[in-house]
Amino acid sequence: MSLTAMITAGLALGAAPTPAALASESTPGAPVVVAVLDTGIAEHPDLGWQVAQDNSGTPGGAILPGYDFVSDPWSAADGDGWDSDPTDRGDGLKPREAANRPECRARVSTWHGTNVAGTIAAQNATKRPSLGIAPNSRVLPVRIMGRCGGNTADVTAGLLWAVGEPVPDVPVNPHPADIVNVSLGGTADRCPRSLQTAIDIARERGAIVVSAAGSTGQNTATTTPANCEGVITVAAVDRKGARSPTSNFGSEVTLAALGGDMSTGERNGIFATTNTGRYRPRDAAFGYYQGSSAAAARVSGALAALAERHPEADAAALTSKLLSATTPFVPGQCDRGDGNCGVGILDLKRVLNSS
Amino acid sequence: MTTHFMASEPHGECVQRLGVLSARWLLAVLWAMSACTTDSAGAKTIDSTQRTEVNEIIVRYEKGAPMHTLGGRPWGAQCVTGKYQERLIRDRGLGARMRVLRVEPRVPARVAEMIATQIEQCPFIEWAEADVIRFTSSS
Repeated sequence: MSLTAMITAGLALGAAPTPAALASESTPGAPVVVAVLDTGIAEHPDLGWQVAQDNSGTPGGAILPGYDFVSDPWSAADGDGWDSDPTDRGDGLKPREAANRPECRARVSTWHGTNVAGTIAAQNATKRPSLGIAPNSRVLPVRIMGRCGGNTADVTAGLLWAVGEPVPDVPVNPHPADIVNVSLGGTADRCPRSLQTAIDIARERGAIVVSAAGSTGQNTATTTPANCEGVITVAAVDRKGARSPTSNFGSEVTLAALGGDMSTGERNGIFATTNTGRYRPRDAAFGYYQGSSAAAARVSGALAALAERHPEADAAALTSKLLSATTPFVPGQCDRGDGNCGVGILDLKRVLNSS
Repeated sequence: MTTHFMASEPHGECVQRLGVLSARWLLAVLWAMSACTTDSAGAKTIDSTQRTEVNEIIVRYEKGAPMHTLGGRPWGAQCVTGKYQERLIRDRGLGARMRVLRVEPRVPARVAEMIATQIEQCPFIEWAEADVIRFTSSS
């Protein structure tokens, strides 16, 4: 979506207040809720999620009670379909497991949801370098990807649940999200209708949906939900402000944010909460990740920080503030001719210093 | 307001087009569903090798359909694989043995139940949008 279209769409939301604004009227100082639609959440002291010996997860710290919408028991690796425990069981796939599934590739677990959650709201309980952009916000973990990714139906259900929509056979989410982070992507020449409908409903409820542009180095026209209407699509740039080599680009991109480029060294990635497990969860750890996932998480964190500072602001106003806190690209940084990286690069300092 | 319902060409699916408008929408649903039953009874049989086991369906509004809600919400239908274990196949007629997972946007429970009953009796449901997209993390 073009910047103009984005602003227009944002303004078209009219006077509908965000859930944050509504909550602030009834519960002064209520934390901003950021739903993280991802691989789930692993135990980490900087986040507060705890996992018992029986593998059941318990919310705490920055993490609210979430839900697991991975319907395929094999993919979920937890023995069942939808359930109330969004603990990340690992999305890694051993070579012999991948051999029987041609659509999947072997890899170690990413702990992607834990990466993203830390970028948004890690609370620095370990006194390590602070990660969370909005440590007073709360992360709503919505697990929609497992081994070999996720599917449209699960993503759609997770998104609807995240914003407070009733989903059959699932308790209503008591903490509707103000911001929904979807650092994921699938290849589709148009936004799936079911997903677009869910996004429309989320926006009608006052939520802001932030999507990664994708990290396959291609045009966002064929990446979804980056190509859905009404989402804030985020491309990744490196520390010099140039588009990260793997970041997608295109007219659907709203803005760019730091996503790192680990091809030039691990430390040029984004420092994050993670886990040491290769396939299944083991110990909490810190590490680096990169890509438009990290960039989108930074934008979601920035929006949460803005919502904390402006509890009266609705989605359109927050979006406007976000876009005004960007630095224009230097010519050549993202002008491949067939797309762009949006209005500019998120200036996080400007967001955090705003009053 | 128009409501039409027809058997579609490729695999004889029961293609549904129903809509909701003001106080008359309930009648429209009833009419459409009865038409569904009638049409689908005469629908062509699809090749069993082209049939995907399906037992759950999401009914939702579909963009471009002739009918829509007062709020302009599109509607359509989306099926989910049986036991959630198989990926779905695009543009294929899908067999019965399904239950309605939900109706989007929300409708009164009584109406949702009615839609569910009728769809479950309809041998073929339009494959409005198959779940062939595989999402992976964007890092």
